[in-house]
Amino acid sequence: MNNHDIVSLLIICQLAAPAATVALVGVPALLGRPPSERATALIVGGGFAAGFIAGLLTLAVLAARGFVPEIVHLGSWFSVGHHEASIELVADALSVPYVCFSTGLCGLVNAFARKYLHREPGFTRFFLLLAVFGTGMNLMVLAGSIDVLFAGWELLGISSTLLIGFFLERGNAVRAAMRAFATYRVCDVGLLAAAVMVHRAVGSGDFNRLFGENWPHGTCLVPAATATIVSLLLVFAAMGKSAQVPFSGWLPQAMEGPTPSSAIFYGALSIHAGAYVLLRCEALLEQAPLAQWVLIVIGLGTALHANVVGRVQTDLKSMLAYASMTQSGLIFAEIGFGWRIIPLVHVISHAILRSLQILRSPSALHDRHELEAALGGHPGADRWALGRWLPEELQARLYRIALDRGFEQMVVGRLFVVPFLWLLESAAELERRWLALLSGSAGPGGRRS
Amino acid sequence: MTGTSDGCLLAAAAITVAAPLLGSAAMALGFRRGSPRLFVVAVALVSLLSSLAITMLWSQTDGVPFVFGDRLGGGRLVCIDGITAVLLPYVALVEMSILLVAPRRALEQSSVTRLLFGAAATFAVFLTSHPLLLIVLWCATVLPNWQSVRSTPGGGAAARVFAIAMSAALVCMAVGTVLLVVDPPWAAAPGWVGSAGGWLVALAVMIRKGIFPFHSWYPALFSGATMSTALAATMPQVASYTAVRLLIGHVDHPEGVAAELIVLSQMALITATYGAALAIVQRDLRSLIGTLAMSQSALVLGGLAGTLPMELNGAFCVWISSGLALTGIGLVSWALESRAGPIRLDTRDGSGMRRSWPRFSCSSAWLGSACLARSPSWPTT
Repeated sequence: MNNHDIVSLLIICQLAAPAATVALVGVPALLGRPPSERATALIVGGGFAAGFIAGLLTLAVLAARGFVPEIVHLGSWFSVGHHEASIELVADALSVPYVCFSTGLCGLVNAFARKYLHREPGFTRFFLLLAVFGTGMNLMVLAGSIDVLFAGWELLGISSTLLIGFFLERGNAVRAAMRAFATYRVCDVGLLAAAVMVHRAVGSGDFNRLFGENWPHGTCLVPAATATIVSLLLVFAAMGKSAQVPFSGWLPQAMEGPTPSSAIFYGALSIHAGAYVLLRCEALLEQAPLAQWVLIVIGLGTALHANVVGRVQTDLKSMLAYASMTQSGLIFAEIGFGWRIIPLVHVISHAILRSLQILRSPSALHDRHELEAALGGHPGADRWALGRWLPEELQARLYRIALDRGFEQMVVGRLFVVPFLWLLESAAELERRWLALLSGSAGPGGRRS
Repeated sequence: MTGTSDGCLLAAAAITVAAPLLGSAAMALGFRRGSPRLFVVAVALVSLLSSLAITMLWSQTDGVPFVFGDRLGGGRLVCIDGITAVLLPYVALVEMSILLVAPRRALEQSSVTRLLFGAAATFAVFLTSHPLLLIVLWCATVLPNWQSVRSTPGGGAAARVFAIAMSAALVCMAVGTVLLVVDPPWAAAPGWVGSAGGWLVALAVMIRKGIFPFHSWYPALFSGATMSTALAATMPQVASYTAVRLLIGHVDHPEGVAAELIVLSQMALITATYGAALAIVQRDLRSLIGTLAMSQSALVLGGLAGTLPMELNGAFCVWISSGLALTGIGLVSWALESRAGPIRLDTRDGSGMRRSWPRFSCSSAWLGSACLARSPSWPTT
């Protein structure tokens, strides 16, 4: 068995381990005999642990060989003429550390959730969705082609939506899930269109046909015009998943989900999925200065917006959501500046810190009391350093804007959502009238079967 | 291809069509009137197995189409090629799913008779490329569905809309096909007659497939008819098959893709977008499924006019995957409706019902996902 075979086996293990847990927990649950809480947590945790260990071993093998990328060809989804949609995974300096970190975090959240969700009616469902998320995350990170990346991206979106609406008896949770789902759907169009563009341009979705050399020193192999269009589409897709302005309204609402899922999705991994995709396609971005400028503007705009709005939030989870958004915006800007290692380090460090903060959020009051007891008094208010330099009137205005969350929802609603829905409602009304005319009645409805 | 496998293919084709036809006759005569489920599912299973046998037998050949009967207008009475081999099991699976899952009260004698007769006609459509036979079979697939819609309580209005649309489609199909046969557009010196025939067939396909602006009957059927009728009438996509047989023949010719197909594909893309957009503002589950089905079905036609083999393969992939997924969604919603009444999307009545049907809905999701993952690189020659 040579090095390539070993790495291939380890990469498949990273993907197969969490995927197998979906079947191990899901099939008995479907048959009406879900495993016990202990068994569920052990199975899912075992899958993540196996993935994590496989990731570490891959990292060691790759490091010993100077991080020369290994491509694992799992077969071809379909191949017609010169076109091919291949199923390829890649192990390189970006994907393998990212898999280690994501499976490690998933394992930690798994351990936390076992006690946190004890005797919760949706216990099995939560762990099943966590396993789906882990599989999707690994699939996306290890993807060697845009088709595989899209599959992982969608698994992320579905599991994220279902976990936001985990408490389905609460109206707010279901509405928040719908909001997130709608945002994902709109922005996923970008990734889908990018995949179509890539296939059109190079006859395949493989990344090694788009850019050569090893990450982070990739070189773009497609013309600048193609690179610009694909990059802009990828930026659009990433904006939705990473909650960038003006698609950021869903993130604070997404905290309706259980705390462990909020930690893993909106503090750690899902929120950085967009950044990961952009880092993966860094060579394309380098060839597309327009997309880089767009990234910088959007990233800095999001960071400013989230920082100002986050300061006036009165509940801890909303504050954390806006803090995540701020960091995510900064990471976007860093990618826009053409940096590679800094955003990767930023992503990993932010994810670890934020998931810890979110997991600790249910006991924040207790922590605060402990802190005050230790200090022997109130620790004092955390003032905004920049506030000293701003005139009073501007501070008051900013405060007003922040209270209304930057009017983001209002602007997006009035400018896009309301006119769009009005148009659709009008079309549906016209359809109803036309049907009534055709059928010679008030409409074709009626009782069925 | 050997004579033995020719005979086997022909026998399998005959069984596929004859099983539901005989089943329909038996039901009409009152056989197992009380509890027909086992019988009709067995009949559907026979068709499914024989259609799979066709696929297997055909896959062992070198891709040479099996034809039987006189040549007319480029078509044969029985034509088994890659298209048939791929689509026939799909149609059989859809028909069997409907019969397997239909609530007991939907399985009364007359509706089952019509359902089986319609299934036999649909199988026959997918086994022929004969233009005149296609006209007859179009009628045979429409009539039982129309009768079913008409007999549905409160379905009179939908039946009328369906009748208007299908009558128009049948007239266009009949006239257009005859013109195509008289003056084939792929002949050495095609005249205006053949061209007019092509456009009429394209119009018939547009109406039968619910392509904008002839789409109104599609969601109306889902709203006003039983789910079995709606699914049986729309999911096999008889019109797409007709487009493949009568219009894609042009692709082999120096002119390239027929102009009708280009217009069809553009209108289909408009319909796909429009249907998906309309689905957003639907307030009941049936209308939602209807508009969604209209959108997905239009996508198939969009790919059929493609100049690249990939686009054609994509169209076949969407045909099967979206058809099975929508059939699954339709059947799940039917099962829920039969327990809880019509489901409105703007209320919370539906919450909690998933607890009663997780296995079924997950199976549908699996089926849909599995079909998407299946390699669509089947030969389509």
